[in-house]
Amino acid sequence: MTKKVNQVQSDYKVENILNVKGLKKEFKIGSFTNVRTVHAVNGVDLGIGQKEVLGLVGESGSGKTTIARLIAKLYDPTDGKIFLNGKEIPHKMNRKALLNYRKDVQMVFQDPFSSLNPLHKVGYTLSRPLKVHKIVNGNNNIKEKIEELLEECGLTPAKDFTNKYPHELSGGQMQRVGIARALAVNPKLILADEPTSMLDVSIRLDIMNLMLDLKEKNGLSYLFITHDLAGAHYMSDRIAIMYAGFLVEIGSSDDVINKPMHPYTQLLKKATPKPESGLEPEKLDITGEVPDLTKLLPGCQFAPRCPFAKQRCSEEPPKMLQIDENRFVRCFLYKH
Amino acid sequence: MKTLLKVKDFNAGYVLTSQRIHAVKNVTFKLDNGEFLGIAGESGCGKSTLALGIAGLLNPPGEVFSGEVEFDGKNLLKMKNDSLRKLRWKEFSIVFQSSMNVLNPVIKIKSQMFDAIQYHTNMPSNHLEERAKELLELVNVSPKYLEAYPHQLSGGMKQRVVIAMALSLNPKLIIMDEPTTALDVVVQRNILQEIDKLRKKFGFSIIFITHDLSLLVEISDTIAIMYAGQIVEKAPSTKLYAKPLHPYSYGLMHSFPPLVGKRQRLHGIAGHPPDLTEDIEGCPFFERCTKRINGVCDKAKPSFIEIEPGHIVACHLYDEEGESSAK
Repeated sequence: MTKKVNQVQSDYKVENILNVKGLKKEFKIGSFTNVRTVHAVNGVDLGIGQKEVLGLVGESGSGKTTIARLIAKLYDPTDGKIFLNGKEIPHKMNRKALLNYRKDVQMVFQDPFSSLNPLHKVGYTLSRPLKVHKIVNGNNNIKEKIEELLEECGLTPAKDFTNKYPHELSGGQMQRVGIARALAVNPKLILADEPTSMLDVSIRLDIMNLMLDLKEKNGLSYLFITHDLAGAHYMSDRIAIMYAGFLVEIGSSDDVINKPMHPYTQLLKKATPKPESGLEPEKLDITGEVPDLTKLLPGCQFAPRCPFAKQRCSEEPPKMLQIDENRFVRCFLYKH
Repeated sequence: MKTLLKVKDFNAGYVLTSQRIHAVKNVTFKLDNGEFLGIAGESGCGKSTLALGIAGLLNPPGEVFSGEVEFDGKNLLKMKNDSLRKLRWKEFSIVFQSSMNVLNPVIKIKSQMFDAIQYHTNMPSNHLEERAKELLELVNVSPKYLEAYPHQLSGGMKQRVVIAMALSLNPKLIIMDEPTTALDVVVQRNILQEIDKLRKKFGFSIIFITHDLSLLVEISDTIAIMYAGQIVEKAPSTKLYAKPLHPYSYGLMHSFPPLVGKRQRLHGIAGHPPDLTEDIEGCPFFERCTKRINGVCDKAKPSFIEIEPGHIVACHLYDEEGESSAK
């Protein structure tokens, strides 16, 4: 087992809370006469350390959400392995094992408006994980715990919020309830799937700050999924960039933003507004649309849009290349 | 430069059976020929209502309460629907946020593009096709998509098609209501580059509405910041970026973590926008403001002060009342 791991060029570390190796997911679409395969995630290796925030950045359709859902066991992977605390998680789990797993790994969803049941009060929503996972027993204790959670997430006075329905809350407050619900089971890892993209600009920062505070206080780790490079930089210790279901670059947050290596990361950086480095927007010389995931290219997926593409790029797929201890890039521009 | 659009004391909102929402309050601004005006603010600040109101597209329960909109010498609010319809698209056009839903899914792109042109001109059909091809090329979409249905196009391409349609009759003004919000950053930047090129080529004016202030300072000439239905500050974008005067502009500007540079903790704007169904005495930002002057800001409405030519702000920090109470 250990031998096999050493052969893989990835940031697999035994001490990581979560390791993912060769994760792959294919979806079948179309009717029975015309079934096509969408290659949503194509062999992703990544690790999330204790108390670490890993930012996962990419365009829509690059497979970010699929990765979160695979790790949350909402989808079964086509191939690949997931290790939690060094222990491999089987593809198929019974209800009890799944409950156990989800006690450690929780998810916060993108859309706070649809991820809370509109028919139930906030108190009920938060009581469910406490009861299902038997975190505390007895109605009084549960009530106490709910109020504690609400206060922790900045929803004060907590007593008022327990009796509110989701429609009585603002978007930011709903997302705080979503975070409180994930926190209820004392998880070790939270998968946050674009938790701020549906919120108003002035509230986004509050939610990100809340998440960072909770991380410090409770020793959490996050997989922070976003399409906003600036937000990822603000939140994350390390950033992984995805393109067409492949990880193309991973490294420390500052390295990836300040010295992007992969041409796609460079493109993303150019396209992101950054008035702090001059008000004149940078010109993009790359056009082209998002790749078709039903037809994987034989070489690098980014080659058709890449200004540096050589013949080799469209013939053989580049491997993840280790640049230094925790910097990896998947590109032939660097020594292969 | 000649003034193209003058909006004066514009009030609009929504009248419901139980309440009256005053979404746009006393908005006054001017737009020059060829100017790129950005309007920024959070959701619910009235920016879309303002855009729809100017274009005469505010449908019930929406209503324009009062004000003047003078476009190219014509008062739009006094015009009848029919004559307004003749003006719309030809003189000014609108691009909406969810253009994906603007295109009819069961009609070919071609016929949808012809539609607007045919309504306003008597262009013969062989010219129509040529014009449509030309327009698609302008926005970098291959003319072969004329024969396609909307579902065969990606989100970015649909948005480009809608922009091409907005350009089809060479309007003087294009109002864009969050045209790129639903798109990926790379596609967004590509489209904005395209818009900028076209504007330089044809010289139309743009009102660009978005909540993304950091994007706006890069692309627009002038920025107006809206809060609770009012413009609180308006300035050339370089000035606004370098020195936002209104505490709300400052807060909004610092709500976007910078991409480059050191990682450090930032703080958003605490609290929520006020309820627009109630009349607000004093400054609408009072509740959330960190620099508020008790006894002044909650009592009197701040009026506009011109700090520098072109830089106006409505805040008591910069007027006599604020100064006298500070002393």
